[in-house]
Amino acid sequence: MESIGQEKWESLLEDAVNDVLSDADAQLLNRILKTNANRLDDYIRFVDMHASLYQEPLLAPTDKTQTMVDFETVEMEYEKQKRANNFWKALSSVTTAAALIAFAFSLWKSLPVDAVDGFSSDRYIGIVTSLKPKGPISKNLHVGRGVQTGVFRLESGKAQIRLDNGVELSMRGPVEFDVFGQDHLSLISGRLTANVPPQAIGFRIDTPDMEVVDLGTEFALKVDSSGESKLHVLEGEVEARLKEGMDFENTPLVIAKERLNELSQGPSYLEREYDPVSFAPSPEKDALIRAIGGMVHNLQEAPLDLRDGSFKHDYLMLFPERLNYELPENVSVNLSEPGTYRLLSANMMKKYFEESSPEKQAREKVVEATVIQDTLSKGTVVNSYLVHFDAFDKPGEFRKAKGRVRFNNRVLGLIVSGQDLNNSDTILGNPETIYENSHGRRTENDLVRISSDQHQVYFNLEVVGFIDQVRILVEADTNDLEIARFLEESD
Amino acid sequence: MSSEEQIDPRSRFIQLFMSHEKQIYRYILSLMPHSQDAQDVLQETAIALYNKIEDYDTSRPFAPWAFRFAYHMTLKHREKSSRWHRFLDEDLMKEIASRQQMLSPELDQRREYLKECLAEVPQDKRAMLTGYYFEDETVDEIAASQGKSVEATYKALQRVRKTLMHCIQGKMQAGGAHA
Repeated sequence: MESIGQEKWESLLEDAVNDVLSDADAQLLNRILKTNANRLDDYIRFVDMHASLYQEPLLAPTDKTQTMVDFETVEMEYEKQKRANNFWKALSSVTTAAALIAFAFSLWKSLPVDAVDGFSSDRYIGIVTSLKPKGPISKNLHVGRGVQTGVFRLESGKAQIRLDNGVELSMRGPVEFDVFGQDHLSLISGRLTANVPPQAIGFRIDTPDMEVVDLGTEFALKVDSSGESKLHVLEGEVEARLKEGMDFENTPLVIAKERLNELSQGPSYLEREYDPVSFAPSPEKDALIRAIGGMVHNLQEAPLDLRDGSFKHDYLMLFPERLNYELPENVSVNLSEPGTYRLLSANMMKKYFEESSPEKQAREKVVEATVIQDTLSKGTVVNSYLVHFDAFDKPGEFRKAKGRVRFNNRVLGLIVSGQDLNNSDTILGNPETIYENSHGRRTENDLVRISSDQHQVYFNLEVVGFIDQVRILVEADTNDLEIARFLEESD
Repeated sequence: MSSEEQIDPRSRFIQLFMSHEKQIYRYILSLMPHSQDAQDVLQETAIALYNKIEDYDTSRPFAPWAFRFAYHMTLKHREKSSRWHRFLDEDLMKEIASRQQMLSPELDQRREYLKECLAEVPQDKRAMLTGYYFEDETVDEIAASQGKSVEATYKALQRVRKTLMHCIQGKMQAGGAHA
């Protein structure tokens, strides 16, 4: 029986539930649980309490949802499965060659653009968050485009992708890589830099001659026209090896940023000095955003077309529209006070009060989206962000997405009504973006929460065949404004 | 035809699943103690159960049937995610799943005591727990909102959970239960 002190035991349990167990501690916990029946029971008791806390009404804030499972997604997946089964039944019944050709043609015609473009029809696993082309690029590539498994190409300039597991990829064209999944891709040629958060440790990139597995890090790779790869570690450590090679270079080697200088004799694929031009740059992050969660993906820049139907994926896209911007006139905001709001039209209120439970009504402040809680004065310096949800839809089908964003600065207000969004596009929107000009872009029957410290906004949005948008105005740092003015004057 | 038989199987599934959701979630979390992963597995389990609801024998209890799916979905999720490979191995997962069922009456009692113990937690600590368990806030974010260091916030969370464990243990012993 393996024994362990109480303090170390408690720290193991804490690290396990906080998902920060080191490899060595994970092995230790495994051994203890296998050999010590009392500790096994203690583990079960502790984890059961931890799980129960996620469900304990005493801790629930006002808008705690009734269920953790999204039954609409369950139903949709079931329908998808049913359609797939019908597809194979239909295919097996097609017997003549002519019929097969006709069937294949009709199938090709019905495939989404991405599938024709070299992508499989799997669900999206990431999103293009930045695009700075320097010449002609594929017309299908744009900021906010969903990324699927399959070959991804960028002909020129720079781009950034965020995968669902939080991995940020920065690339410099021309670059080509094959995405196998969010944990694994193959760089065929060009330059790619990956920033890998702790939850995605184990993320792997193959090149024609190498395998690199992340151990918690940021690393840069480039593959030249002959298929030869070079690696540089910017932070943390990776495990790398040549697929074939001499002098043990084909055995995995852990390469840590701190030890680059010790590796003066090789390996041959390692470039100890980082040249930001010959590699792709580090992925950029929005310094004004402290954290995002759920289905929120923050883009580095605003998409150029935000009209209904431009995206059709299940991400809540969050992006800056104007930064350090001095309001040229007074701007009214629908919501500015901390709280949990259920946004309803006057027509829907009656139905809501008839059908929702008293508990639900007690948890949420029901407001019309057209409510005005505050007016920001002319001259106030703000950062304007937009949340855009344009889900894949079928007629009459509801799609939901939840997520949150925490800003470094205070949220001054939210604009949620269709009319107020339309009216504020000219003042607060990105000048190069085409916006939807319909009242339908409002949030309706959606839930929005402004945290008590006014730094975090939580969304639970639902769309039925049309977009939802929320404009967020965040306090700007006046120091930043002064720097911006100074730079402008210097130009 | 009984009224139960008249309910369409899909509606029956939603009723059954909702009444067992917490139990299934706790089962998954014991095998993969990270909330987001456990919620993903719970969603995948619901999809798998929904697809197979017509195979469910209504004369038997729902939970053990659902656990079998949850177990396999956890394994599947574990295979997809490299970081879970280094955690509990498959033999141990089986052992935990089986032992958890044996401890079930005790765990039910402990959850009752948890409510009482939580009521004794000071308001500021309870706000921290709400942030962590319900607002989906990371330790870093809680630390920032409370003006504390990340390390201090980790410690504070650890202390609250430890206090709750001791409180439950005390009540179990006072109640004469084995623990």
